[in-house]
Amino acid sequence: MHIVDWLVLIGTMLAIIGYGIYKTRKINNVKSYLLGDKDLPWWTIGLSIMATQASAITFLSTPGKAYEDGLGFAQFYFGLPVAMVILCIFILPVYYKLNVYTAYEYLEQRFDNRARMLTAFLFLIQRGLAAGITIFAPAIILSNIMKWDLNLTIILTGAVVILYTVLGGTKAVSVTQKQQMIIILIGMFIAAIIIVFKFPADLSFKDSLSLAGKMEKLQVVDFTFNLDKRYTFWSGMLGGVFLFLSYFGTDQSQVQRYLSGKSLSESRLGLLFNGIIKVPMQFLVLFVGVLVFMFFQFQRPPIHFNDANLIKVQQSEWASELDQLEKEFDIVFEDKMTSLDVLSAQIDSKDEAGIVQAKAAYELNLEKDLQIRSQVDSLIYKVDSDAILEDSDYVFITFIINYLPIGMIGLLLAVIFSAAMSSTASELNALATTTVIDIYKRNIKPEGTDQEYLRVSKIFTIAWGIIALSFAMMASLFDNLIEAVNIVGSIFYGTILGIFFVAFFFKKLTNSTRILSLFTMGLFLGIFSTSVLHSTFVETTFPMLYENDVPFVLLSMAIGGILGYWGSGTFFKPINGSSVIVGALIAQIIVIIIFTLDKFEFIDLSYLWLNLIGCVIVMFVSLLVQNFSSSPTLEKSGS
Amino acid sequence: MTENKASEDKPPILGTWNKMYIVVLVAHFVIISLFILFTNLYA
Repeated sequence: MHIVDWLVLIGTMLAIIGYGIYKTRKINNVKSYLLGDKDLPWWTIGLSIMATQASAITFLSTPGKAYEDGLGFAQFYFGLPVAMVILCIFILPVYYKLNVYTAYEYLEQRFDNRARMLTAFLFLIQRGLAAGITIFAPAIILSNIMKWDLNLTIILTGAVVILYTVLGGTKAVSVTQKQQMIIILIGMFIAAIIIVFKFPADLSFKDSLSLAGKMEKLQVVDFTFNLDKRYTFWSGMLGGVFLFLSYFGTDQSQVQRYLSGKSLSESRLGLLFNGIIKVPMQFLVLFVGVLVFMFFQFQRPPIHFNDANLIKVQQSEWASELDQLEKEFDIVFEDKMTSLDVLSAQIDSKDEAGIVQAKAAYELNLEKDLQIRSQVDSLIYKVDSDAILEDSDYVFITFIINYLPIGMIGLLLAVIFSAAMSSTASELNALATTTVIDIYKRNIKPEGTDQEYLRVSKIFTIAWGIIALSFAMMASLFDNLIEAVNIVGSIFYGTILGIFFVAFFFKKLTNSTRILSLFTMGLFLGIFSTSVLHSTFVETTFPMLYENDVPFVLLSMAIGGILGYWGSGTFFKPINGSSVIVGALIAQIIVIIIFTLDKFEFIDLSYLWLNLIGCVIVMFVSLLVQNFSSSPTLEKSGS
Repeated sequence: MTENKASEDKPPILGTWNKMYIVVLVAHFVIISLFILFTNLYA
């Protein structure tokens, strides 16, 4: 890397971290440390929320995802603005009214200490694992491409984050995130412009979009109602709402961001700002991936994007086979480019028959391209059976290193490090806060002094940092760890959200209780019936039902909605701590069973739906247990 | 913070929070509509 890039990278990082440490140098009590003096304006909160969610892997993987599958991943975020509005209406005022440090404190006030402990414990497991991955995932990619030592990259990234998080607490996290998010947005925007300028001279931006469209890379919205299809309008709008309600409403790494707001208004504005900006921002990141895809249609891409894998093959007995495949790849690339020129010309002349013919020729070459890549994967597997063959995460970083001008490489690497550090800082801060407030102060030493809690908070931040670093360094020993952590997240989020829904909406019977029950039960039965109708059994035994599923799904949704509305009114009892704990444990077991059935392909279900299923089961079972329980309930009151 | 103070919080523009929420949801609807238009334009 050029010295200018090093200067840009190190200068940007030092400036942000130095600013964070300077702004928080006077913090000397635990409230300031954990809630940041509650003086942050809405734009800092909004950017901080966005920076917490966008980890480095977002900026490495998301363009790679668009490179392979197009823009459809944007639908994953469709439920986010709706979730932001629901949080602002129902949840934020409660947290402010009770003046809590953590989301889980509220559960003790509503239920009892057991419910608070259970939920805090679920959060610590899930977020503790995720913090390690947040550091590991970008480190493995950067170390492979930049030829840096993996453990050194992990330690350096982690140590810097631990340093400023320990010194400045929540406020340091938020003020650095504001700068980091600005760098991220500027960096991605400039990258998009540079890629367009790197297109061939005779290919206009409009032509490149037409070509990308013909290659099916520009389909953002997909209205297909198919539960095993991961990203559709429906999974994003319906499943996504539950995921984001859970993530932003109950995950302390996010709750802590908006609890440090100057007022309820500032926190609300921060969340709404996130609701408006997030979807277009993700679209921009995905669009950069499509532009990179178009760039590599006219510039020969590597035969495999993970350079470390290629080097292993080059140094093995299979080197000559790889050399042969490289030569074949050159020929296919030239043919592919020629077919693209023809396709572009046919699009310009608006000759539909010619377009179809040219597209078929391109697809034939693309097929050959994929076959060669698959043969390369086989060679890599022969050399190292543990190697990760999927290389889409390496697409964007490969482009950055090889094709961006001097100075921009440093800036884009600063983007990636900023994203890694901002997410990790929030996670460590939240893990330490939950450990101190929900466990240490509540159960171990309730009568400690302010200075003692401040000291313990710093110790726990370091401790969680070391745990995350250790986990990140061990991560490469496990197969599919990233997938495993994502699964852990989606399995637990539904249950946690269900506990909070019961806490918020099943205290007394109101219209909100009945409307929530109507929607959740309607959706739940809709998903259940779709899952059954799309099963292999129904497909082979009752093909008529399989082919005409829509009326049955709509009917089951209507029945579910009516049952939910009627049942919540008729059988309502204010739910107590024991009932919600039983509900949460049963929901957790059922979600794990459903996930296992999906894993072994007995059913087809995208993981996004697990959030809704877990949530509904907690609500339903808690109400059921409360009705059959002799334990006391809270006082019932009508709406 | 007391409940009264919480309920007194007003948004800096539009007067009520309900109007703010509607603006966010309408903006989201417009963005999705543009995505649909974009999808159809280049399909």
